[in-house]
Amino acid sequence: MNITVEEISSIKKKVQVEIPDEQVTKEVETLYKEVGAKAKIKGFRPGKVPRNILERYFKDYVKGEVIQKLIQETYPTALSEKNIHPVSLPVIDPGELESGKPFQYSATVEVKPELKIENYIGLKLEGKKEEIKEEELESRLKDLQNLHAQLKTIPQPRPVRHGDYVIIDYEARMENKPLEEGKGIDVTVEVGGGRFIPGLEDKMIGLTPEEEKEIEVFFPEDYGYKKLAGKTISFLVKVKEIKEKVLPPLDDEFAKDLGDYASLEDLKRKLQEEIEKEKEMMLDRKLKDQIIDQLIQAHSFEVPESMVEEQAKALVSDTQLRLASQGIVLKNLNIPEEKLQEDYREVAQKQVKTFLILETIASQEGITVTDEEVEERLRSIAERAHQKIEVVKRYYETNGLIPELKTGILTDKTLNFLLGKANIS
Amino acid sequence: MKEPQRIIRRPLVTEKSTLQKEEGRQYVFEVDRNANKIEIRSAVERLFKVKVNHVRTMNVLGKIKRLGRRYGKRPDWKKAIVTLREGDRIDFFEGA
Repeated sequence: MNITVEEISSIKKKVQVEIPDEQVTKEVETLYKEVGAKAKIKGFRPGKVPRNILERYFKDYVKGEVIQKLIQETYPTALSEKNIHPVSLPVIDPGELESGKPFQYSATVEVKPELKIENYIGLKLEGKKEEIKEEELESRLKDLQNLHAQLKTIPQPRPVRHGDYVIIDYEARMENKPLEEGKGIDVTVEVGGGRFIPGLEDKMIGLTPEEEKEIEVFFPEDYGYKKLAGKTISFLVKVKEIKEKVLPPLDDEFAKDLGDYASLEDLKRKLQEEIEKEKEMMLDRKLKDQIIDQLIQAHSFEVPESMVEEQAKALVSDTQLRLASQGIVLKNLNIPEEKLQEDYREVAQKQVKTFLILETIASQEGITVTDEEVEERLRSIAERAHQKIEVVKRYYETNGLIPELKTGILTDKTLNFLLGKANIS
Repeated sequence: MKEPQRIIRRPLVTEKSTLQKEEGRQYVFEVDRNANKIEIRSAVERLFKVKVNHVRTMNVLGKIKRLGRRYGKRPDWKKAIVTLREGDRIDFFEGA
């Protein structure tokens, strides 16, 4: 077997393989024998068909099969012999196959670029951990209060105010014709919450219970629902009830109701810790983003197209999953998958670049992933998913996700290593 | 006389005919039932541009076949074995 490698670019290689004639002839012979034993041709008993007749019937089939078989047999050895690790499927260009002549084919594959990353120790990063401000804690508490607020009907009738919850019946009319979909009974609206029809909420301020009023709302040209965009719709609104939001008082009782908090002080302390942790993570991410940005800027290299493609595909399917968990089917959104992939291209390219850089640094620094670390990661995944570790492990193993997990850990470790060596100001 | 294409119906490719071809330069055809040896000879000579030494013919009776209680008969046909002059050959598989 004769193998030559031609470098098309830093990430593309063309492997030429020549297979000697004896091997070709042998393969052709054995295949004809196989076919001949089973072929049913009129006028001949199976297994008794002469070779030249077989050739007439099965020439193309045998040719295709032999080419495929020869490539399948020699391609992996050719790669390992020349030490090529492709990241894409090969584009194979087979030559002519003739019995008694050597067979040639070429395979074009994409490989990871050979990188040499330098100056990654002592990167200058900016970023400080932010102090926790009093207001942040306050707003956190307020959110909790709001979450546990109760709606109470107001004791005395009064006009609607901003922030009230009103229960209304309404009917929409466009150009004096009732709109089918613009009807609602017992709808709860938060006045000023911005979740109902824009403009209508504000105009309801001042209405009193049991009052009916005709309200005109103009929908802007760029309104999401095309049918109504740029039209004026009149709503006949009847306020049935006004409700107020009653916030629970901030005291020990409130804290206890929320869970395992002994007192309000305890709750505050826990919240503080939580905020602190979030801030730390934010800083961590910010610094790591800087590391990646700097490294990408300092090193320009070609990125294998197939890796980007694959990454973009992965991103798209991620998005699909995320949307599906919200009950949205991507197909219904009228966004073609190809378009989405195109949009994700740039992100994907950056991710691939990051990965390549980090991988190179890891190998330069001798950073590796041990089995224990994999185990550790699996355990934390299991905890988050409330599953047993064995279940998670089996899932990862059967789906062949362990290598992916390993590279994830590797990049994390490398980033942490870089962070540790960086100059943070 | 009929044109040669109508006399020679088709070449007969079977185990036996392949053997005859290889050992004795004998080519086997299915021919028109009404054709005689002289007609067959000239048809083969004109069609394949070869020289024929001699022709042997035979009538092959169609098999009686039965489907349930009904009997049927496959058509009778005429087989011709044509021996060529030494050195001549026919590649009649091209069109077959």
